[in-house]
Amino acid sequence: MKFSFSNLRYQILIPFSALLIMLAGVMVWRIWSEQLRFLEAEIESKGDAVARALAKGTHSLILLGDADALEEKLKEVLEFEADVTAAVIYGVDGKVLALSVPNHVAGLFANRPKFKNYTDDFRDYQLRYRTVLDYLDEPLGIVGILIDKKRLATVTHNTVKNLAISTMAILALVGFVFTFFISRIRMLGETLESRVEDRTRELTENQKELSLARDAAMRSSELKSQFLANMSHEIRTPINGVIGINALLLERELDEKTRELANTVDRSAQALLGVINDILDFSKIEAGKLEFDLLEFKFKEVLSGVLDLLSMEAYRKNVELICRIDRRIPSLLMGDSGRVRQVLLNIASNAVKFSKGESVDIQVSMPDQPQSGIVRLKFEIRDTGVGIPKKFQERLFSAFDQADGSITREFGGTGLGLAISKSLAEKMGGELSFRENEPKGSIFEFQLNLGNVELRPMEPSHFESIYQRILLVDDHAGALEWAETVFRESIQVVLSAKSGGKAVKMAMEQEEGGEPFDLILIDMHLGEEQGRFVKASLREGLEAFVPIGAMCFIAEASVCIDKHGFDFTLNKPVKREEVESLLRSKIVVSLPKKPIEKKEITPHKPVEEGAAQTENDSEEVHLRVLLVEDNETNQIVTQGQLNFPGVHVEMVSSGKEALELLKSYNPHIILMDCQLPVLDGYETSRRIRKSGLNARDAVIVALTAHAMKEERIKCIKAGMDDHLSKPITKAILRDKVKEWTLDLDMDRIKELNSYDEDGSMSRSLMEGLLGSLPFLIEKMKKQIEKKDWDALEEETHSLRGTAKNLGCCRIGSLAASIELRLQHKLTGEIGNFCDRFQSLEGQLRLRWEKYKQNGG
Amino acid sequence: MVLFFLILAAIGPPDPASAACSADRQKNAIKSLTVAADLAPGMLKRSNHAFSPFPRKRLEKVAKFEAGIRECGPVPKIWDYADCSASDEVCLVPDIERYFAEFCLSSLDWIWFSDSKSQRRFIVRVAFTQYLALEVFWRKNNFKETRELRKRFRALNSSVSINESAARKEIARIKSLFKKIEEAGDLRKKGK
Repeated sequence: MKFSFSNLRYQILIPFSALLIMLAGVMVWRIWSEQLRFLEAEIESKGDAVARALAKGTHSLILLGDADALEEKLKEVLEFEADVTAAVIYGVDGKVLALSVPNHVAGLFANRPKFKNYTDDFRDYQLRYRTVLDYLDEPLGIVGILIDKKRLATVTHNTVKNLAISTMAILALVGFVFTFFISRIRMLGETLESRVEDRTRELTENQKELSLARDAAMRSSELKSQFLANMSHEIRTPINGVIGINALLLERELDEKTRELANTVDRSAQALLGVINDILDFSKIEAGKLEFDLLEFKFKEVLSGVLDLLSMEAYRKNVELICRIDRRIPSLLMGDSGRVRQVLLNIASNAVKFSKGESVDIQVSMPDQPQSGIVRLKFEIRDTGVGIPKKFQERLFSAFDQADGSITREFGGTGLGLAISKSLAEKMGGELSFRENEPKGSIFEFQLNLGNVELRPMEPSHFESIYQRILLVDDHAGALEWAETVFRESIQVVLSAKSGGKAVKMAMEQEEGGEPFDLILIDMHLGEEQGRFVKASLREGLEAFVPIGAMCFIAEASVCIDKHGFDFTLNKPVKREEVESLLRSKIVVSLPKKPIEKKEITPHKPVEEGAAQTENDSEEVHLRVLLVEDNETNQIVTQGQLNFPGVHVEMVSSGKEALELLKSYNPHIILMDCQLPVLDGYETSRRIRKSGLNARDAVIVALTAHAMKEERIKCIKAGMDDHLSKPITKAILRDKVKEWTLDLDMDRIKELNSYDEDGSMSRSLMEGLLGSLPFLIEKMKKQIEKKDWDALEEETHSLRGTAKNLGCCRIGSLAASIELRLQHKLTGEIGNFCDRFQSLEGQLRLRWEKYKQNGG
Repeated sequence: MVLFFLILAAIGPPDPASAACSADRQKNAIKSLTVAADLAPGMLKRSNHAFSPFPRKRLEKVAKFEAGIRECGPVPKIWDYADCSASDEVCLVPDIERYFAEFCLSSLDWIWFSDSKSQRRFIVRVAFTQYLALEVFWRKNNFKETRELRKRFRALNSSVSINESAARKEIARIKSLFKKIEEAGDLRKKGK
């Protein structure tokens, strides 16, 4: 075997041997030293013992002067003690009395001894003297013995030599054993290596199999997603037709029975749409494809929308709905408002669904101050309904699992709602949890992390209330407490009564005391007394006229005013902004009385406002729309949805027809169905963008039944600006058209002006934007030239936020569209957008000048 | 019967030493004598104390040597000098120098038990060693005979292997000097 230090055997053997040799060396050296010390001690003790015995045994002989006996004594000593080579006895006078000294050591005795015990050391001998004393310790003479050290040294050397030989033998043995074990270990190592190779081969094979299985699973997942997308498309298209046609039907004059049937159709279609949406959401969550559109939104609008939806069901089931909102929550937040709405609506609608004549209390709070641009909102939905049995609580959030099979039969639903809500809450940085409500009912709690766009909380600027003294009447403690809280934020004197009798008594007492109430609000569902009877009692009892309003659900508002004679209504659940709106307005009571909330609720502005801005403010100005749709039902629905004054809609059934028409028709906006015969929507859009037509810069919004994100990207790739997923409601369509055709949102301008005292906030901000826009557009052009997409994305993001905040809808939407393209690396056609920006900038400038000329 | 007694008378009484003491016993007796002689200096040194107390075990040891010697020749008995009545453990030997003096003189008698010159000289050395121990004791009492005794022992040592009669004379002188010292000691005690 060749020597190689990389060999494990030598790597272990060499250091180990070195260590052993070192150990052996140290051991031998140590033993050698010990032996030398022992040798010295041995010579010392032996010499001392012999000298002492000799001295003792000779003192009588010295006294007797028996020289022969002394000689004999010395011979005896030399004979019995092998290490004693020579011996001498001297008298007190120093004369030699007896001696036995071989010639070769005679020279060592040349010196006359001293009369004391001492030792002379030579290389091979030791000469030891000892004084001979009598019994009175008087010196009689001195004996000297010569000890041969060689013999003892030889013995010692032999011992050490033997020890060294033994050690070497042991080392050799250890080395042999060690080598043997190393060989064994190497053999084991080789065996192990071979096994590892086998296992690795097996693993590689398994991995290949797994990889194939994974590919198959992914392919299957893609097919599943595709199937879901197709299914979604196939179902949504007819539902869109059903809902749209039904909505048009409901707008007509219908007899009661027909209207009821149409309403049932609408509810069923909406329910079916809900089921489809749930399934689609759940499959997205399962596939990990759920994505969030992070956009700014007004939290109170989302909440208000949810409450409006819930209030209908709550009214139907006579459930008291309360919503308490922490006033510190910022008004503008960043997040996916649709998902926030979805989670809240899901949990809250469940709470209403499973309650019968009880209450549902929604509480939204902000536990911590916003940090690093993040607002954490805590939602707590508390109901006093049937509650959830313990055995079902564990699988509460499992998909397709409802507490009881009978629930599906009684309340409907797919059992996906809670699972989807939990996933959505978790994806938004929160957690959905459940606990029992005492004494009955359930509490669901979840948190969401949302972006903080502005530091201003949702509370409005301080205002002067017209009314200073108010009486609230409600038999539900929670609802009454919340109403009191909200009113006390603006009014000094807020008194409350839990019963009609007490309310009448209090009102009369206050009037008699010279401090009548300015306003009285009565819960419409005031136990057995009922609000209307209490109102009648108050009217009779009070001398002066006091406006008396009803706290009722939105659905019964007109009944409250027209039938029961209330002066105004306040929607339940009580919302802060509606209370503030009420306290700002003077209630004018006339016949026929108009419900106040009709003033407060701002319906969607008609689209003609946007069109007016594009040309002039007159009602005659048209917004030109091109609808490209092959499905006849959808054609009817969309046309019906856009059927309001000032809007002109041209309609074609194919892409080819659209291209032909665009030669003579220049629309502001093109609503493009994607699934068209011959020339589909994508290709048509591409051709429009590449054409030299006037309409090449028109806004193109895709109408598709596909709800998947991939579809949206596909549309944008084809040159479209935006996307609407079917079914499309009237409101959604109008909002989208408004977003893309309105230069300046006047509602937003008014809102901005309300933030400062002189009402000029919008002016300074708008002047700033208009001043910077030309430079910004130039900057963007350079970034496009340099292909600096990251910088461009930052710029468009910033412009989008600023423009939308100032109500510059078209510029904001265009910026958002560019940002989306950049996010998906779609930089192909991006150069054209600068021209569109310049065109929009000019229109905005014109619109703003007009606004200023009109006294804005 | 008469004849028997006549024969007995012709043979004479048996010499206790030669009759009972075999060569081995004799060797053993001399060895015991040597050891006992070695004991003397230490024991005499202790007798400086007023009551000369000795552990009983030590005296038993001495008695054991005595027994070994007595099989072959005369020797004094330590128990004749010891008083063990006061304690089971400790005995008093107030006249111990007299015991050793007797022992020393007995040793001198042993010289003649052996024909070996070297053995005779050896016994002289044993007796002299015992004497040297006694001399330490006696010189404290200023007995003038001690110097003379050393001379006599040297002379004995010189003559024992060459001139038996001279040696016997020396032994007689030594004994005489011992007697004088003993008497002087008694007189001194009485005088006190």
